[in-house]
Amino acid sequence: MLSATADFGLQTFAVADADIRKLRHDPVELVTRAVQPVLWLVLFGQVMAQIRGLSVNGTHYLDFLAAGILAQSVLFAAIFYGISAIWERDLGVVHRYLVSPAPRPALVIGKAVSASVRGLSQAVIVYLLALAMGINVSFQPLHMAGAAAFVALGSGLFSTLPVS
Amino acid sequence: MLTRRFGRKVAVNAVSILAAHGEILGRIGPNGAGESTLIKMLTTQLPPTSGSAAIAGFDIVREPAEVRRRIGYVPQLLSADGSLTGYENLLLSARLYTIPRAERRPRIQHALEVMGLAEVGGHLVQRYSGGMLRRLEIAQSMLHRPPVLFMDEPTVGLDPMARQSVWHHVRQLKAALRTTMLITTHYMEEVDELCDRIALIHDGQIADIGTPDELKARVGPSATLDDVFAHLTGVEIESQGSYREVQRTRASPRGHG
Repeated sequence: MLSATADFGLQTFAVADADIRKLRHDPVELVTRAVQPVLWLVLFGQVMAQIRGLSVNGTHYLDFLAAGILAQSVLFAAIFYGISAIWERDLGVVHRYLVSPAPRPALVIGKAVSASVRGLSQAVIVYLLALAMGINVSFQPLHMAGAAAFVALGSGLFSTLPVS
Repeated sequence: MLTRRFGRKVAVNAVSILAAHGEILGRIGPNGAGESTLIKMLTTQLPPTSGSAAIAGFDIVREPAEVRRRIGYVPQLLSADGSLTGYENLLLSARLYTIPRAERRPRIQHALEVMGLAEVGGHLVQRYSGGMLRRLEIAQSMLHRPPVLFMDEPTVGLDPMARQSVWHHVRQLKAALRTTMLITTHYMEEVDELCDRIALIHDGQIADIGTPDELKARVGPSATLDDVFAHLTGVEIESQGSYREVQRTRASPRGHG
């Protein structure tokens, strides 16, 4: 029983690790994914912040926008990642998993874990950007942990939607 | 004895094969004859409609997990990940098959050397040639030393030199590990080169089975395997698959070669 759990852990890690290695070989994807939040915050955000009608209960507009951009960019990154897993099925790569002794959940959870890592790297970019733009971000450890948990869970969940 | 239906179409009809330990059994047949369905059932990707089979002593229906531990499978589609290095692809396989940590590295190195890939182990698989890819895929599926290896058209789309090198390495593996291999193919030279026995599949059934020489002798003196094929199936070898199949086989080497 214990060894079965250890095997499951190793197989899940194998799937996640392989995907994270891919990201390390080709980090361009991270950069291209960052284009969208940059556009929103720097271009649209700045412009729309000038419009008086958009002020939200006295909160600075960019402060209000940053949280939404975080959620949106993480969501999109996760969904696109999930779709790429389907392309993998069209190639033979997924057959490898299916004929191996790894249980099916190991494949799905492994993909979810690596999606979380991607999501978190997106979040880091959005945080840095917000900091650079002087957006009011809370750096309390508890708040940070909450945001990280939200990002990790959200990415994992949305990335496995297309897979399942 | 295996049967699989899709709706009313019987893809594989009560097929029964016995492969001896350490032999290479080739399976040929016209497209749509049922070899792919058969290989999917034997590798536990598709449950049979009725009947069952035993692989290395385990039942494919009742003990699929045990069967998966004991088989290697080289699919026709590309199964090595182009965005990883050869070494990383093998590492993924080693972990999926839960090879103990201490053994992983030496086994991977050994596999790379045996398959003639030692120098390119650290390169991204995207840059491999077709023959190197196939050898890597065979290494991947043999890393856990399975007693049975399935290969689905291992040399489709390869040039003659690459094909020779794949054959050479397959023969070496067989000699070193006494692995039982089941190969589907459309190439008669491949059958002649590699296989100890051939099963000719037609309409979901085994039309004939025997060594290449036996089959040739049954058709007539100086008959070739092409003649045997035409004689038993009544089809000339010409019908190379559906549009989708052609698209697939041509697209995969180009996209990743």
